[in-house]
Amino acid sequence: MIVSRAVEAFGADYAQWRALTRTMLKCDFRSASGIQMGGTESQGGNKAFWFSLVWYALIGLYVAAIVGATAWISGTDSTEIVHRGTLLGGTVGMALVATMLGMAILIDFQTVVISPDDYDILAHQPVSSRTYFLVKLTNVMVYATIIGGLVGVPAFFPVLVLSGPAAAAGWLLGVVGVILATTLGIICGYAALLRFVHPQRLKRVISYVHMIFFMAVIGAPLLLGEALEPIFDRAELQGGFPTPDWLLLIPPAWFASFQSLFGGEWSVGLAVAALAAAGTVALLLYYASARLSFSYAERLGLMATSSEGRRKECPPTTRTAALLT
Amino acid sequence: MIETKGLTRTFGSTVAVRDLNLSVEPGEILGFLGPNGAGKSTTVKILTCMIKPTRGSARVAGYDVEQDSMEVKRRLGYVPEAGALYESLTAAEYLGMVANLRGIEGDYAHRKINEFLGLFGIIDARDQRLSEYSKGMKQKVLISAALISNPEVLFLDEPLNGLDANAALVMKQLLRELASQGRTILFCSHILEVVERICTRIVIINEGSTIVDGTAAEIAARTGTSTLEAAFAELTGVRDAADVTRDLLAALSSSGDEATGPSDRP
Repeated sequence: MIVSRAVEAFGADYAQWRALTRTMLKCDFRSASGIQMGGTESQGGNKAFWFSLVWYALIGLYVAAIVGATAWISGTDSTEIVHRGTLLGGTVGMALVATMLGMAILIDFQTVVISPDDYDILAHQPVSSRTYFLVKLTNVMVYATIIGGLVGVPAFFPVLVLSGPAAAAGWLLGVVGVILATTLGIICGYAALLRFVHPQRLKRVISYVHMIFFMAVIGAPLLLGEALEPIFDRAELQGGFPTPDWLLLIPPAWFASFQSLFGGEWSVGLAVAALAAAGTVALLLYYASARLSFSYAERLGLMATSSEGRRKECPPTTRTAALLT
Repeated sequence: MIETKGLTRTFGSTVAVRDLNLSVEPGEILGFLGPNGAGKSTTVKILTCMIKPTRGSARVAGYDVEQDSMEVKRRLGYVPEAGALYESLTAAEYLGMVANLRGIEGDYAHRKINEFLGLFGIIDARDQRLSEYSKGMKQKVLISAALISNPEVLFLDEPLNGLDANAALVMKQLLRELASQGRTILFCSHILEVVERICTRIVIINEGSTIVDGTAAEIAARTGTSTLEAAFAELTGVRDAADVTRDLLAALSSSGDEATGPSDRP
């Protein structure tokens, strides 16, 4: 009842939204568990799918360790919980959540963002652009919530134990914000890039970027372990990590600021950062609604059916596109 | 009914449809013909509200395709030429989705789906994924999807593609029955014998414009030919089939000679 009212308040048709959301989730889970994860729709494919979920959960433990370590060090300098420096750990944690989520959506669930097939199948059905947008948003948010939850939620527990329930609630709010911002940001960015770059070429570039990020996530702690040790020792002695002002210029810090604010740290910088996080989500939501329309799906459909060679003739008009072509 | 006035669609500098004027009355089956790239599919896409015209207007079932596209879509059924389907779904799931999108729900939807799948002889495969279906079985699902909401206007782009002889026979009989009940049908096909047999009127277009409009007999008489096939070849400027065949055979034998004697090349 609440869901149907919310859907209708958005201007979408509830029965159509329900039918299409169910359909798209079925399609995605079936293809994700088989074809897209590198196998057939068989037992092997399902194993790969579940393995990827276990992988994201392990990354979640890694994030929890980072966030927990900084919260523990920041709270050891007296009997009172000090929280100084939780922003640094939170920022690293949020950046990891955003990176893993972004890569998962772009690589494993690329067709969830927007599929050229939708245009051929649905454009002659009586489905409004608003309903279609809400279906795609719901669809992508399901995956984003699962993966973002696996990566971001485990850190809730160390923060709860070490910094208290308010800070833990702030962490969760930040995770929700970063899931929304990353998902909507990808929709907007992906859609904008596809105006200039062929989907196949973009897919290839994303695969390389994914590989680099994968190596960075795995390799960074190994490579930087010794370099970071003195920093952790100094932070332990000082009872917290130093939080430079420029840190608040980094978007993941905006979402991490909720943990610090809810935990009792107060500063104008943190408040502005929290507002920037909320504003980013609102802005992206507004912009994404134009990017998931049928007219966009039509353009993508026409582009996907044209040959990659022919696309080469179109001169890229942005610097980003020039880098990709 | 279907009505277009000065309908034009361009893609960059290419004119796909040029000043097309069409009128199809309820109860008519219009054969909409033309060589490849003549503008048939583009016209159908405009009439099914999938793309917008560059100029001119079109009305389907009394509604303007640009101003009232949702009303048009509610009243039409469409079998696309390149049948796109969500292949991870089963036939029952796919038809269930289409039924729900068109306001058909619950037991009534289930009954309708089973009825269509039964009539097309694929009821046993209702829970099999569409990716496992043959081309003909997929075509049956697409036809069922187009008919499930009992539409006023039907757009059929090569609907007999891949159908076995029995299903094609059922389909042809079905179209005649639907037309006799007052539905408007636009039928695109390259199988001219079928068009000649089931269409009440034929429009042939070339390079986006109408070149002839009439019954099969009228068109044949106008071109001084005995069959629609010959009239089509005459009107669309295609060379005589016998000449083309002879030249193709000559090309095949000459390439065969070259293949056996590459050392003779300069």
